[in-house]
Amino acid sequence: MRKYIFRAFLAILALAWASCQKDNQRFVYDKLNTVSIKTADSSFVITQLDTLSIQTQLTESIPSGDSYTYEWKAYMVGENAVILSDKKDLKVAVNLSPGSYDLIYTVTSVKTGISSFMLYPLTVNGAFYEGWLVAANQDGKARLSFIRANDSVFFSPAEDVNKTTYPGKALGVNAGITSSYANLALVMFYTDQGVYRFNADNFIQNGTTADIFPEPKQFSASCAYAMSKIPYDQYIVADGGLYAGIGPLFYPQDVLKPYSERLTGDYTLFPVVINSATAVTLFYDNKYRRFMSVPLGDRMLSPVSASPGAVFNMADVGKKMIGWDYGTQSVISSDEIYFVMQDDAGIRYLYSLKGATPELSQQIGNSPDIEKASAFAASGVVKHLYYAAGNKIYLYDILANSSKMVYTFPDGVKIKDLKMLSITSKRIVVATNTGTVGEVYYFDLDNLGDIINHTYVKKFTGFGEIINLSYRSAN
Amino acid sequence: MKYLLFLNILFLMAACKKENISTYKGPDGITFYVDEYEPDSLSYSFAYSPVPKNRDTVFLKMRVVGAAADYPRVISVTAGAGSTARQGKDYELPEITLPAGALTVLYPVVLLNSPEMTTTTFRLVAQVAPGKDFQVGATGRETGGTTSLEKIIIDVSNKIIKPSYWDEVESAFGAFSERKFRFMVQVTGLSDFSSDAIGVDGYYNLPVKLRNALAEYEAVNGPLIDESGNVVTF
Repeated sequence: MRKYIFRAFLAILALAWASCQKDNQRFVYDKLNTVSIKTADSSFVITQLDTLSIQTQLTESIPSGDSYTYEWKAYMVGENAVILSDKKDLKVAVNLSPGSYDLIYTVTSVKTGISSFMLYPLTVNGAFYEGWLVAANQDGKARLSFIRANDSVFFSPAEDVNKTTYPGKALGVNAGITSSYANLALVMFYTDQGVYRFNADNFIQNGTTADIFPEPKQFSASCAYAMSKIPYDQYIVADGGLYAGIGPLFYPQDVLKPYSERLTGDYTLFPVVINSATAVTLFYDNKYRRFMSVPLGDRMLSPVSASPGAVFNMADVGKKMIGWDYGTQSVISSDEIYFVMQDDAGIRYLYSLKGATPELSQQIGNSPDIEKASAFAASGVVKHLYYAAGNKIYLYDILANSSKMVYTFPDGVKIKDLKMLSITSKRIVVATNTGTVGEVYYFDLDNLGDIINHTYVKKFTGFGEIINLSYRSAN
Repeated sequence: MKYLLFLNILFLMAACKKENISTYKGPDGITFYVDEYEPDSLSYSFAYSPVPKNRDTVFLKMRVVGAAADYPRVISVTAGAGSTARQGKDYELPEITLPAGALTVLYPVVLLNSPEMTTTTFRLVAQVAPGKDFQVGATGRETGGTTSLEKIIIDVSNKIIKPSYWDEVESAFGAFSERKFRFMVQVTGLSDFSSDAIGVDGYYNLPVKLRNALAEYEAVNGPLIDESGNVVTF
């Protein structure tokens, strides 16, 4: 036994002696070859399923004839990374979900294992990321078309995607898109036989009347659909009634659940959801000619309180609402919204609210055909309101309280809808019908609000009889 | 050193001796049982039913303590000490048969809606009755979190009592009253308005449904007055 203990002692002593040797810190440093990466662009935006091509220029710090491996990887926060390619240059049809990604390019030397990286912001837009929705009737069916922001036209995307048709008569279309506080992108398409709801990114149908309303429902006129300014609630105004659904703010998993029954009360709402204020969403009752409100997250529709001393009394406007549009908009502060009102004598007025506060009330003066105007579009930049009457477009200067004609379509053309491209307020979009043939025109505006070159810049045809236009903004 | 090695080998040989496993032998028993988070007593009120009922059945889970048998066996349950409910007036405890090969069964307690239940809550202590096939089984917590019980208490009435969850839904439905609750049951066909039961959409949508129904009621009958003389609102 002593022999073993002695041997163990010797071994420990040898290890201790070796560990205390002085290190001379003599190292040999050699420069290794590294690769720098150059590309023409530093960020990329692509439409889903389109081909993304990126040519790379690689430069070795010490030309050595190394071979390399390559990896193109897309990563979204909270999602698994997706490897797109293992080729030097990227050329691939992007099948990623719409959203914002980091595109990471890695070049690795086979010899040394040293990798070089480049990181690019990559935005993948849905195929229907932004553009104009067009509700129309064609070939005896309701038809929903889409003019994408890059001017591509999809005449029946919902029918194609869902492999179905939409019977009956189209009544209208609108979109609800929010990316502030929460994300939701829906399109609502109304026909006299029911309402259809789609994911705005891909037009996949995710609801019909039976899914959206708690009880069977028929529609006779177009509806309004929008979320509250803080997207706690969704609202549909249908045939004068108000229906409330859950917004995406706190319960994103419940946004497709059925809406409430018609909110209780004696009222007939004009089809508008006035989400200009944060604490309440406003509505307008054409029966008693007054504004009504629903507090955020509530389901009680009540007349607003009287507003003595204000520009007008919201609790007793006394006029019928016939049109509206957004003026200046902001994510966090109060928006201005214009309303065209009409009294019993047929005289028309322009009112506005800023947030939930009366801002403007004036009789519309010096304005030809204003009594026949059927569509209205306001600028978000200057105090201008465009209106359409018959085949004519007029520009109403709100401050000057007078209008001038800015465009006339040929006889026989009837303007059905008129909208402002609100993200710039530099383009009005006009839907016309000549009999059952519908067309959509883009008119660009100069700084004075006049139509540049007095003519349209783009024209889209083939829609059937158009009912309305609605803008599907970007997510 | 070699003696030490020899001794170790001896111990190892002894340690590897096979031992018989003990198994339970005795008369078969039966108990009620509940899952880990399931209460061991329950309340039942005929007042929560959307349609009037003279009788209803509550099922209690039972399981055998012992082996399965290849023949049917009889299970008896009786009203134990502490019961105030009356046999034939407030409840019935039928004798049931456990099918051959079965180890669990749902025992049907039949509750009868007696006139006195509108003012009185009766207690039934459902207790395993020893019989020719089963004794009272061993009770206590079992592997898997279930608990075996000799008896389960059932409080039965035809009264509406403010549910324990009401505070969490009061902002949706307002202050509790028995009349309001009966109206809610009648209009919605639901009897459980807890957040878990109605979901977020129910929390927001049911008050609208109730307001509309109340407006229709008031148009015909005038205000709905509760037991405290207050006008029911939603």
